[in-house]
Amino acid sequence: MIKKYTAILIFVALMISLGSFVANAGEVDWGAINPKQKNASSVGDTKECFLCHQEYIDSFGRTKHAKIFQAKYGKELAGTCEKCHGPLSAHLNGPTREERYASVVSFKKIPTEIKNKICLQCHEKGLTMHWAGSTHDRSGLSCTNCHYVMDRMSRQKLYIDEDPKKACFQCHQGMRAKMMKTSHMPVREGKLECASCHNPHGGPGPSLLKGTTINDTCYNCHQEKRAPVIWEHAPVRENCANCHDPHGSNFDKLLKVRMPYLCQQCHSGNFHPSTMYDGSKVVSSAQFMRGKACTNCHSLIHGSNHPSGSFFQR
Amino acid sequence: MTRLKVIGLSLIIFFFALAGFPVFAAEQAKDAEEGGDISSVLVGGTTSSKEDDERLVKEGLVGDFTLGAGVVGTNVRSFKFGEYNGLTGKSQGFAVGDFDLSYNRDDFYYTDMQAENLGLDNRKVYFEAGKYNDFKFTAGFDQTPQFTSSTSQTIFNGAGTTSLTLPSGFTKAASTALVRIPSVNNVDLSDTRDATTFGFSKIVGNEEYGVNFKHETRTGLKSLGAIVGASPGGSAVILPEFMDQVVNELQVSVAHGHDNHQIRFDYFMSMFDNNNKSITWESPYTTTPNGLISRPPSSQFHRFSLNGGVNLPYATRITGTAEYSMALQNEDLFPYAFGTSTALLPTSTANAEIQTVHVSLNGSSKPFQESTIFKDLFLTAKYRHHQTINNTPITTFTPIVNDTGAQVAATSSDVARNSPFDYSQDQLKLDASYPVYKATYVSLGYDSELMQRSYREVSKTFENTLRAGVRSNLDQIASGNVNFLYGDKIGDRYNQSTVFDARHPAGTVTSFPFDNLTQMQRLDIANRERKKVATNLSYFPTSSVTLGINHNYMVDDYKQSVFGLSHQSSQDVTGDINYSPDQSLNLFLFYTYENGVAEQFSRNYQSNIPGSDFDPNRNWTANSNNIFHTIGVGAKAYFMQKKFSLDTKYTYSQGVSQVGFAAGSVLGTPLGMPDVTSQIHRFEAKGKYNYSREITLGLSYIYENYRSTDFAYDNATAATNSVNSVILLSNSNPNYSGHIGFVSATYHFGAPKASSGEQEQK
Repeated sequence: MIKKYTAILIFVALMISLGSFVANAGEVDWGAINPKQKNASSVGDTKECFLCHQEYIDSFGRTKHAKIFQAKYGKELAGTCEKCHGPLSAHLNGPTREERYASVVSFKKIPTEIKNKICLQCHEKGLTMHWAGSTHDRSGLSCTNCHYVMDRMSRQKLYIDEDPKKACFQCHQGMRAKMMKTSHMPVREGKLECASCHNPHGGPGPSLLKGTTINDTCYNCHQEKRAPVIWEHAPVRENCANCHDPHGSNFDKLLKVRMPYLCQQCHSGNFHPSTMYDGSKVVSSAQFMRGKACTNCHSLIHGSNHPSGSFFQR
Repeated sequence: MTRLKVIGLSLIIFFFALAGFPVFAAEQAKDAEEGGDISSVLVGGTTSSKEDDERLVKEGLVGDFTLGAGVVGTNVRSFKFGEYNGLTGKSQGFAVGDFDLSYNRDDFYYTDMQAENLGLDNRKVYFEAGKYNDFKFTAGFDQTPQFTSSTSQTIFNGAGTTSLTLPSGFTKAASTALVRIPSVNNVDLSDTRDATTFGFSKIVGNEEYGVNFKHETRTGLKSLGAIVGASPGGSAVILPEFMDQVVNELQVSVAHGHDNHQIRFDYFMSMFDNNNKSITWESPYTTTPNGLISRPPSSQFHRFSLNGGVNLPYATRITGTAEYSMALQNEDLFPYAFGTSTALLPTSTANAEIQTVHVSLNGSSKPFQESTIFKDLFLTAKYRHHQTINNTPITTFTPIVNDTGAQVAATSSDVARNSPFDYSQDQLKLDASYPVYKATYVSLGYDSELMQRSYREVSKTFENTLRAGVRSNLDQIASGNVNFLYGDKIGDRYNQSTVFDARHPAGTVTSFPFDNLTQMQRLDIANRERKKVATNLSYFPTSSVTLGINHNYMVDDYKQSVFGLSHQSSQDVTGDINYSPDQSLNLFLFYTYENGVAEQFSRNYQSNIPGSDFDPNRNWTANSNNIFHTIGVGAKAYFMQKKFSLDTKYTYSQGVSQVGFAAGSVLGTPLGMPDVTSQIHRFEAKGKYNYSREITLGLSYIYENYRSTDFAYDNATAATNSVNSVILLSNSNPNYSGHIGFVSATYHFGAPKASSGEQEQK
């Protein structure tokens, strides 16, 4: 086992070392994107962009992007524009309107892969470090599907709408309906957003989750369930989603199936675990079906630290 | 306490804000003296010189400040209506403050301040100050309530403490039916999380250093099932659990960023402290005088993680994550039963520890870029290893049955040994995609997963999964994708004795040599065949109309599970229509149908009926069917040259859950369960009028109507003795009709020439 980890770490170290010596692998080749800009050069300090694009630049100025750009690249406007639209000398000095129009990288005309590469010039780190090869990358999504950088449409993260959920619901329409279910997390109320649990830019976890596992993600808010205890409930320790549907449910506690039937999918022990709780027993066996059902008694179902808690009752 | 925290945090925020204000005010005043507009000093607006017009980021204060007031009217006091905002009153007024302000200086120093729902229980405040591309401080306060039940009643005195007593006149008895309850106390169930955060980060060259701290308190009342005695004859009561928990978390990070390689190290610590280690209660049953139930133990968690990425030629990128963590818990153990000696325990503390090791490596590449045919072939490969190492010692516990008397005999089936469960997961994912025609891509994928578990009936499961898909974007007339998945999970021989032998020490006598039916396979380790289809189509018949349909279907078959879950499927279909003829009008309509089906088998057997465990006439089947309909329709329109906007939306959601049965002859003819239903209508209208560039007036109205039926809770009260062996807490009948009316005024500092959201996206 130790040999396996050592081999992986050496491999990672080698890759990083190799990357340090490979020039320009992550840089944008503007001439390849737009041949008209092949011989164009950066124009540096100019305010000419305002002559035609005043409205867009004004709105862009309200974004955190603009503020960071100015601090990073200086107050010269073109230095900012050129970071995403390529060197602009041909665009500003073209002999005809058509020439000028053709001599700039417009996000309306370039493929998804190029759009993303332009953004990743600065963002290939932190939350977006694992974008390449991620589910959304392979699905052909571009950064601009969810983010709009030319105005401040949302309070944070430059989403396309003030409501961050709308970015996700463009494709995940089924989730929009799940949020309306009676048992739900406070997503539709705005206290959580999809990105509270998911990192849509990819990562080491399943289902684009922020944590390395489903449980690691859940423990970010439910720390009390992280503690190791004497009596572990194995499926609970392994995967919260064995029993819960975090996106919404018709049952208490986001359960996937109502108790006792949920528990009986795995438990068929002597007496009550194997009993058929049908409609005729709603009164006579109500202790297994009413109130908190199985957890009327087995209330420490996530695990117990009590010496008498082997059945998760203490 | 919460209000004090908000006030305290606000003071901190304004302290920082004031620190920047003198510079700002002095510079603004200087501008005014030089011919600028004095109003810019008063309201933080910007001067309008040509030079300023040509600056990307204008110095000064910009943003919005909103004050509003509203009224809530509901037909009943409803915690369901105000579940996450606290607007639970039958007739209630409220005030809300909201701001989103940013002060920027020409030298890149800035201060951002945001607040939401000041005045409500779900308030949030955020503050950030620093210098762009250099350093920043952050501070925040976030309050999240959950109002669970306003109709609960308890037999106990002392709700809100960890010691619950019975009122005078309470008559204990051996069973619930004989207990006499003289009175009950109303008890509201709700809890709140108050999170305070602080952070600092600093950029030095290509390195970024960060530290973040979070302090969160959780207080309130929840419901908790609690039992005294144990099989046979255990009786339960639902307690109002007093919750008092504290979480402190610290994260320290160091990141190095370069065009071609990035690396980041994180240390994360989470300390969970439960101030209520247990709840004790006076038993309403004569079998046992008192009960004690443990609460989640205090614990600590430490995680070290390393993330890195490197770009190589041929559009190749390698990323990886290595993570090591440990969760520790060493609380003192409670005695076996209330009032007994801890000297009877085999160990005094838990000494529980789980370590986790995670390693993942991802690679993506277009390796044939110089080939004419395969230059756009995109390949990805991922390897992931995750493993837990549970170091909790194995101990044999000999409890006191029924919470009274002596310890059970060493041969009793109640003697139990803990099993420090572990698992490891190794996954390999390979994917390829290739453009076959213009913007049409075909993709193929293969996944393999090896799961290894200790103390489970199956020690190894291996799953192979094949994936295929097509996505296309046809000249902006239509776009769509369809994806298929087939997975087959096969495990080692299902061996119940692994778990049974681990739990029951040698020499103990049990009714059966197994804990479960011998032919049952637990769903998470059972052999499984999985099929998934996902389809998404969008059609743009004109530039103003979008039609979409989305369908997801998944089915899991557990063909080798004679008992347990045998079949599970789910599907959802959504139709969307969007009509937007111009920038002043947008109409939308959607409908989603969702259906989930589960089929499970079992056999009713009892140790006092010999042979019952082999009697097929005692078999039974339960079929669960959950059906949901969700409809949404809305319009957003602008009038009067966009001075006035109206945003309306209606959504309706209905859920019906049914369970039907089939049974063998011994069990008789079963009856289906009563349906569990829920439905919600919600109508929302928001009007905004831009009175001037600086002032916007708002008027909102929300109507909600909620209806549900649930046999578990409806008409269940603590005093009815209606349930065998359990005294309930809740009469949770959350039906309501509620209205909210809200007026607001927003002042825009440094009002933009084109307001946010009105500009066409390019």
